[in-house]
Amino acid sequence: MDTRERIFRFFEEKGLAAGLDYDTELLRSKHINSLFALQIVMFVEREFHIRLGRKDISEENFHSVNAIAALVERRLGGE
Amino acid sequence: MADAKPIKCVVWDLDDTVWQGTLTEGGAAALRPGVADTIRELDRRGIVQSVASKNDFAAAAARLRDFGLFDYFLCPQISWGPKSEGVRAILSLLNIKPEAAAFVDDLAFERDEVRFAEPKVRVYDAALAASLPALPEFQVRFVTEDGARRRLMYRADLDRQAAEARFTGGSEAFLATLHMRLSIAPVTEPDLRRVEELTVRTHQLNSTGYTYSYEELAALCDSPRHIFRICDLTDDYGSSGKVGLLLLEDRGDALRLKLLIVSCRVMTRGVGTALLCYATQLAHRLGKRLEAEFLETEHNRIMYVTYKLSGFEELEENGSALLLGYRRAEPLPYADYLTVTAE
Repeated sequence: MDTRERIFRFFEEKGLAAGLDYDTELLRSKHINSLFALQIVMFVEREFHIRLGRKDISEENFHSVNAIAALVERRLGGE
Repeated sequence: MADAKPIKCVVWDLDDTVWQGTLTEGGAAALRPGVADTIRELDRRGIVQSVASKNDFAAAAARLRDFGLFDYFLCPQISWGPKSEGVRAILSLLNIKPEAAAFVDDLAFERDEVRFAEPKVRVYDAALAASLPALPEFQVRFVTEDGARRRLMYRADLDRQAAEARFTGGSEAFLATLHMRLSIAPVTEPDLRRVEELTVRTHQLNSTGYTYSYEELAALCDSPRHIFRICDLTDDYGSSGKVGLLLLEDRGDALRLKLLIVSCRVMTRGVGTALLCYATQLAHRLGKRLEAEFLETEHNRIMYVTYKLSGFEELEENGSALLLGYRRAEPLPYADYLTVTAE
């Protein structure tokens, strides 16, 4: 399972995957509110064993499943 | 003990701590002197209590009922496992941090076992049980109505958690089943003790950690340059009391959020977001920009994430002190699962 799929599965487990694809705008849609935003941040850190810094937590990095996956891969790549 | 950071939760051992002797050896005929008074007094102060004891659950619970004490304890952990696991389970269920918890046991071995696993939990010899209410870390400045009802509100929280665990839909779908009503109103004088309590007790959901004296808070209520709001949350399980606080400073062309605090008891229920929505809507209506001061602490990262993923961007940075600005053209809408009324 690649990074995107692992993130997508988290949305499925939370019952939020209906109508969701990898590019769906998350932050202003019904797929994610700030309550859920916290959960996704914590999920990403736990699932991929990374610690997100202040600069990582931005709307650009969390605006879609693809954006989150890109963030994770940058961080896993040692950036 | 020099550390007077307030204790929010006391976890009790039973044998030779709450009662005299060992239940499984035919003891527990009487309570230890002063313990019942301590338990009632801590409860009155809004300090919640539980039990971590190595015993048979049914027998120990029955004996606590005989003594009229069972209802004082939330989610008691009575089993043959390590007490540190019991303490951890309690803190997790009640969403209380180890540094705000105390553990009371007569055995040095058990105290050390808990301290080894959870170094931030403060441990007390049962010999001190009768004098706990006199120690500085067990003081509350005021006994508020919310404080005295805290145990009942925690119990409703536990019922909610149990209902959520049984629920198979998503977390927002679950929240919708609660029929939450949030009422936002100006802070008035009778609220001030609760306001002070929230500023002192809340660390995780606190945007700046600023504390104000009672007199300063009273002045803020009347200040024409400030908008000071408190909110009350009710749902189908009952009232959660006054759970959130918002302080905005009017700086002419901008409103600046000085304080955004939400009780950790209602952490997962979207109250902080709703208060942010309220602030963005108010600023929008007044035609002012919205800024937010944020002071990073060891505990309040959750607040930073909330701001950053709700349309706020860094404007200025000075070490751990940040100034954030709301950048979206439209104010944030309230979530569907919450009915908000604002005066």
